Amino acid sequence: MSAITAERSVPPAAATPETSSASERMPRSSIALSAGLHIGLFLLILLGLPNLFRHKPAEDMPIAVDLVTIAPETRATQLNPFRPKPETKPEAPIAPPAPKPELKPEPPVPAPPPSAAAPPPAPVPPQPKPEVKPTPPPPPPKPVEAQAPTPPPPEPKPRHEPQRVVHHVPRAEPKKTDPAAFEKMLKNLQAKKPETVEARKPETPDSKKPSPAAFDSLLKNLTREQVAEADDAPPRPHKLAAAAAPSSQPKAPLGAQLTASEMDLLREQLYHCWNVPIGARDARDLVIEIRVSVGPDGVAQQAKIIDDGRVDPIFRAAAESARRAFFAPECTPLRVPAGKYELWKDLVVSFSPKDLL
Amino acid sequence: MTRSFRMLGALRMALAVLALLLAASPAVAQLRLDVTRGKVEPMPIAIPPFAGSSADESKTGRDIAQVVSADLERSGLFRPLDPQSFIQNVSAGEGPRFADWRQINAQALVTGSIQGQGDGRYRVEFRLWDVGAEQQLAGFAYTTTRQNWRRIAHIIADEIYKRITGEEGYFDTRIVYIAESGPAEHREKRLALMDQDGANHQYLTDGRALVLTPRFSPSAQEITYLSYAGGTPRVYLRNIDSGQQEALGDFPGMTFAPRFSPEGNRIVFSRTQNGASNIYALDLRTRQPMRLTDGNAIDTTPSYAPDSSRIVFNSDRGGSQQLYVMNASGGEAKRISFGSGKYGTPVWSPRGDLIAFTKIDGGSFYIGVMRPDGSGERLLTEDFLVEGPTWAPNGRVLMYFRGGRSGGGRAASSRLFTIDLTGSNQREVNTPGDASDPAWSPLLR
Repeated sequence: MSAITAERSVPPAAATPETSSASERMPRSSIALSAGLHIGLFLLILLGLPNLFRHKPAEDMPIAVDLVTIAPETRATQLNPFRPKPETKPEAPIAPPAPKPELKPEPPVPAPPPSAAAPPPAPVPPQPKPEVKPTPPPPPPKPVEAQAPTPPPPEPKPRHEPQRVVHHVPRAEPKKTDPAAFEKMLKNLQAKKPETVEARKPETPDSKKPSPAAFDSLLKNLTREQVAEADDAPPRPHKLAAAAAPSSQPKAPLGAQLTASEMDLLREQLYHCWNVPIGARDARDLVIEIRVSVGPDGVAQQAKIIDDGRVDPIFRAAAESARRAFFAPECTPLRVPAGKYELWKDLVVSFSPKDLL
Repeated sequence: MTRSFRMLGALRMALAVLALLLAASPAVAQLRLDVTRGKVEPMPIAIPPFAGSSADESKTGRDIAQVVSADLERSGLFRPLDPQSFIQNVSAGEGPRFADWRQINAQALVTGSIQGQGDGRYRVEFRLWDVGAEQQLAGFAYTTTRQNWRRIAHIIADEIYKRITGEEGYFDTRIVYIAESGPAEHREKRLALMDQDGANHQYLTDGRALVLTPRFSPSAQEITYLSYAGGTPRVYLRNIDSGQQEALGDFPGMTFAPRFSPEGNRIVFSRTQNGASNIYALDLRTRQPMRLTDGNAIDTTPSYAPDSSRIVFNSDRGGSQQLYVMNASGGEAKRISFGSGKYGTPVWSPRGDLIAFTKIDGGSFYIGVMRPDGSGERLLTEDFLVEGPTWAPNGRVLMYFRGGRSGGGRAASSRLFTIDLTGSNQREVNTPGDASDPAWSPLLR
């Protein structure tokens, strides 16, 4: 209603100067003009308003219909739960390989405590080498890799499994526990420091060994792609097998598409996981594509930057920020519809901060 | 005939498209998703103390980790995690257990160690890890004397910043500023120098002569500034290490508002003669001044573009104080500021994309930025008095000073602040006393 009164008050005020100046010369025509204008305005207000009201419901309708049709499909697919299987299966392969080979690399490590950190991870050749040159502070930087050619020949085999150990151990837990519960746990950890440290050590031999070993193995492969393949190759058969049985039913009815609401759910989740590098120059124009391999449990197993050859440090930093999104706690696991593993096991996500900047 | 040919062509095309579709159909189409938004939050990073084998090394290791932490935290882009929450004790010398770091939500991890070299020097080594991708992002080692540990910490912080943001860091830098003390009528102003985080503070002058507007040379070894040392205000040049100081040329009239060219071979400044102030550039080798503006207006605070091609300055030639851009060799100037109020102290960003300025409008002072063509003006902060912006060498952070109101014979207090280019993360810079006119050095490499 307030809109109506506002519109009425404006036109007469604008009309008056015209009529007053014209009335001295041609009174009749000006009266007619004024009357015509008034009638026109009156009609406009009368006819224009109902239109405004009509439009809104018409626009809302299709959206509502979409949501209704999509919902039942997503529910139907959830009837086949994957969770029990992926959780049990990954655990099984973890156990056997871990213990033996990794105990050996450790002994040489402890002797020099600082350099111990060095040996396992050292040789990531592609990145450090170029960087070492540019940084010439008074103390000459040396590539860390150079020193660390030390350790392990036995690692290649355990590689795959240790890595998965690392992936699964933490992610299984978040599923069960809330953030609040997790905080409590942290507090406990702080309170009982000595105990927990000791408690961890017996357990961690398994997880300790895998990570350095796995890392060594990563480093041996010169390119990230090679590492990726090595990682994926063994687990895939298991996971596909795991996925195949439960997904056989839901796959069929839905065809080869995720519904709009399912896509939105995933997109929305990723919004909360991607920490955008907004201060970067020309950040608005950045477009980063990440190819993600997702396990049947919805946990990203591997995220690879497409167009990784670019050397632009800003692109690389932004691309890594996008890749990190898939490993953020809020995005493990990804909110993907349970019965459509075949559709989302291999995702390509394009990140661009254009709506943010 | 032609029609039937066309029909045939169309049929072939349709068949080809159909064949392509059929060939592609067996594979499930790859799911593609566009993410056009994200969050803007500091990145959680874990920086445990660097490992050392002796008590002395361990202490230095702790100190380095603290300085790295503080640097990154102040940038507003990182959130160093509380060391109390760390599950793994990486100081024990083992490689990172990524699961343990994911548990505490760390997205990046910094590990490092210190080793004595026997000749009194130390070897400091660090690695930056991507916890999610379980990958090393950077790794460097530095050998240096013990007293250099702070610089090493800043250099490490710069490497981390660079690897994560893609842009150069700004932690291994220094600030020169005017330290103020005493009552309003006998205000003592001294040149002071400190690290970017306020450490290693020292005074360069004794306060007998008033000094203003210090600026670093690109080598960070020299400072040019205005001093009343000889009675009249004049531009001086000073070597930081030797403490040697000399007046820049011997011109009649007052010279002020000096600034180095990006190559460091010239100084551009204002010179007042007969009531008008014009801009001059002085070649430091030949000591020959060149007049760049000519008129009766007040042209001052010149600043070079990073490619030395142009100069931005402020002038009242149009009636009020506004910003203008001209070629570095002088000539016609183009006005770029058109907002309400007055504009002053323009400074071209080291990355060239923006010009920072002070603006006075409606009784308030503002620090703002605009593009070199005058578009995209953004005001970052407002106060009773904020003035004198200076860019961090990466062109992403600004430092300026903020003054309060004076009264009762007491001088107004003033402090240094930094602010991010996005207008967020405003932080005070620690100084022993009142401070104004800051200038940020280039990286010290």
